[in-house]
Amino acid sequence: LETYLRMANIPYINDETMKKSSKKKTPWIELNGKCVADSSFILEYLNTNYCVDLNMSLSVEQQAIGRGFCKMVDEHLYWTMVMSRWYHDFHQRLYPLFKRAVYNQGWAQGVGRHTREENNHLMYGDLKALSDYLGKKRYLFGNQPCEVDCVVFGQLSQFCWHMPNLHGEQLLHETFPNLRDYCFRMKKAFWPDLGLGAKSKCQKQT
Amino acid sequence: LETFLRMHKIPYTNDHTSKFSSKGKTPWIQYNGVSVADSQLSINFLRKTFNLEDEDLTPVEEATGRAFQKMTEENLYWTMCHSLFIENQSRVGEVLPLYTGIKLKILIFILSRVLRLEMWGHGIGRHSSKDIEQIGSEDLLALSTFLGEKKYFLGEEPREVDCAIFGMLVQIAYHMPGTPHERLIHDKYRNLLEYCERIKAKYWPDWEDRCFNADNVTDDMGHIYHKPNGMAS
Repeated sequence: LETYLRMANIPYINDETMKKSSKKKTPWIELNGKCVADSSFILEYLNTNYCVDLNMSLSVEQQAIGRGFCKMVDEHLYWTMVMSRWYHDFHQRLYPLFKRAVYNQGWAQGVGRHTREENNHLMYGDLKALSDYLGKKRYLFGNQPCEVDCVVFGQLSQFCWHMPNLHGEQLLHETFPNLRDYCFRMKKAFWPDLGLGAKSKCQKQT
Repeated sequence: LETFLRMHKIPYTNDHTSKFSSKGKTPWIQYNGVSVADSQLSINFLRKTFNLEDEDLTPVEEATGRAFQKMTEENLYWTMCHSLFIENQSRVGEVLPLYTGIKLKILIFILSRVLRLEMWGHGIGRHSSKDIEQIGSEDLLALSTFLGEKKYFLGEEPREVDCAIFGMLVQIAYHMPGTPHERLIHDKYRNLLEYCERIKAKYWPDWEDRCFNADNVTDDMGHIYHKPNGMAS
């Protein structure tokens, strides 16, 4: 979502107070007093409000494919990552209740019912699909990034920088280097400030 | 899964005893004493066990197929459950003819509760009904746009991804009366309906016999279920 805002040049401020939306999830936004939850609906709302269309250069068929990939990463790859990070490879003993809560959600969704090996296999399959589709291109649909890249990058950046010593990170860096390069490319284009003064960012007032 | 078995001419028998797998879900298979749960894992198992040839697809085609398959199974699927079992339950009886009266009411009650919990955990259940309907309709638009005028999803030949997508779309086409999905596939996205008809004609020539014309259903444990009187064919 933030990548989309940066790509569309929409100024924004982060609310770091950890409040949850009306649907008890994040992210959510507030614009002129109106709250909108869920990243897909937020994108649609902002597209209408600001007359933005970052998928403008795509054919209808490419837009359809883009939707397929967005849903695959948001509804499937995401869960394999959650299960890996917070359940299968979660070695903290201090938070059994948290682990249970994650497991229950994963169970409800379906992906949580698999073993660690099966989870890794599913993760591999999704990353391979992304890697094969990206191929040698700069972005998913050519030389210009689009809305789909925001969504995919949002998930892949977790694999790249936020899953230390986990299987997902290893897959991205070793097995699918074109995805790793893609992440660095997106970061350079839209997040040149990432990693600088992380502490000061946390102290920022809303 | 059954369409995959038929496509590769692997003989099989259905177990109608409503047993759930080790993961608490269906479908699952059992081969020579080994049980495998989850349709995709079952397909991978069958490919290995029967040494089935790899599909002749480019990596990009395979990747695109996977993306659409996941979208259908992990996103569209939940919007379908919501439409049929939560939003408007008045026609559930038509698709579950073995349940009538109080049994049907209890089943709907339990199913809708379980589905609501699962959908809440997944995330999609937190949206309003209108939003869920919109998500479903956008998924169908994507499927219809990508299929276009092709015979099958990835060209002239049916592939594994067609088995998965057909498995879902066929529910919408024939098994979800009165839902917005059914209206969309019959009115707006007719190429999806024609696609279902095509696969049905190719791999399920016995569809009418199995679904409608048998007076009763015998499962493999020998239990016999009689069709209630006056059931519409």
